Parts: sequence; C-alpha cells; structure tokens
Amino acid sequence: MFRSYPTRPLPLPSLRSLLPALLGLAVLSLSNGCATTSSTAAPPTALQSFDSLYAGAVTAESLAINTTTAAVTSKLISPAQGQQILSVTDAIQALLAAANAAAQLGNTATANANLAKALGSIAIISACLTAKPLTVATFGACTAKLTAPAVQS
Amino acid sequence: MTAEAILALITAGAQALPSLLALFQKASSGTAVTPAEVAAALSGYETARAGLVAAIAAAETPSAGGTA
Repeated sequence: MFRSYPTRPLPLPSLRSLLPALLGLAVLSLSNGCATTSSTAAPPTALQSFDSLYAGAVTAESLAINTTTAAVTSKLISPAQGQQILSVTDAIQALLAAANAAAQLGNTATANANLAKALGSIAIISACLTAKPLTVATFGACTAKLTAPAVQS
Repeated sequence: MTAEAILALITAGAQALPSLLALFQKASSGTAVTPAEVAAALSGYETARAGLVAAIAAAETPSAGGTA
C-alpha cells in the first residue's frame, strides 16, 4: 500500500523558471516604498533545491500579508478587503504546503504547478497593494477577479 | 495617501524584505537553505497572519473613544 517515491532533487530547469516571479515580488515590494531604489540581485543562474523557493514563497506571502495589515490599519483598504486577502492567502498557504509535500515525494510536476499558482496569486496581491493611489476603490477594482487558488493534486 | 500610511506600508515591507532577498539570493546561487530557515519562514507567516487577523478585528470594532 505504501508507495516509495524517489527522493532525488527536483530538476533545475523547471524550478528555475519560478525564480523571476520571486524576484518580481521582491522588486514590487521595493517599489512600494522606495521608488528610486534599484535591486542589486543578479539575474538567477542556478537553483539547487526546492526548499529555497518554498521558503522564499512563504516569506513573500508573509510580506504581502504584512502589507495588507498595514493597509487595513491605515484604513487604505476596508476590513472586508483585508478578510478577502486573508482567505486568499490561506488558500495560497495550502498550495505551498501541497507543493512542498509533492516535492518531498519527488512529484515535480505537482510541486511546480502548485508553487507557480501560489506565486501568481501572491504577485497579484502584491501588485494590487502597490497600486497608486491605494484606496478602497482601486484595491476593490484590482482584486475583483482575485479568487482563492485551488490545490492541484 | 497620508505620510503616516506610507510609513506604515514601508515598515510592513521592510520587515520581511531582507529575509526574502536573502532567500532569493540563496536560490540564485544554488545555496541550500537550512531547515531552521524554512521553519523561520513558516513562523513569520504565522505571525503575519495573526497580525492581519488582529488588524481586521480592530478595524471592525467600533471605536471606544467616541464622544458620549
């Protein structure tokens, strides 16, 4: 009944494609407060493990949540909009957990698909939070089509 | 957007950005992260989520400092 899966590392090329998304999130975050700051990170050249991308995605999600918290506290967005982001980020966290579990089992395709969906949703949230001006109306328009992503198995 | 709101947003970003960039640099250079770093990322997520839940609750609560 218990099936054994290979534990070899995920192939680099497939995961490498997700690195620009993480960098994009970092740049988006930088542009939020420091429009003139330039990123000094070199273009991604290699990737050794899934764990770094996973940890990076979780951290990027935390950054988006922290920014949402600040926006709610500052009344730039409504509590209902904050709740919407909370629901979506809960779904994103489920995606990341599924991606990590799949990676540990050597299921590259599922790991990649879930990680990519998670990063896509984080990118949308980050973009909406960095829209200028950030108001209840602009945030509502930006997140109108934002839905909780579903885990791919 | 008020200066106070901008400062709040910058502060929120500054809290998580250094670790995000560090993880990205590790991914770029092929340096593996440690289990402790993964655990720290997850812990940061839990803290961030709790903060958002608290902020939503506070924003939904009518101000107690109103005039009688």
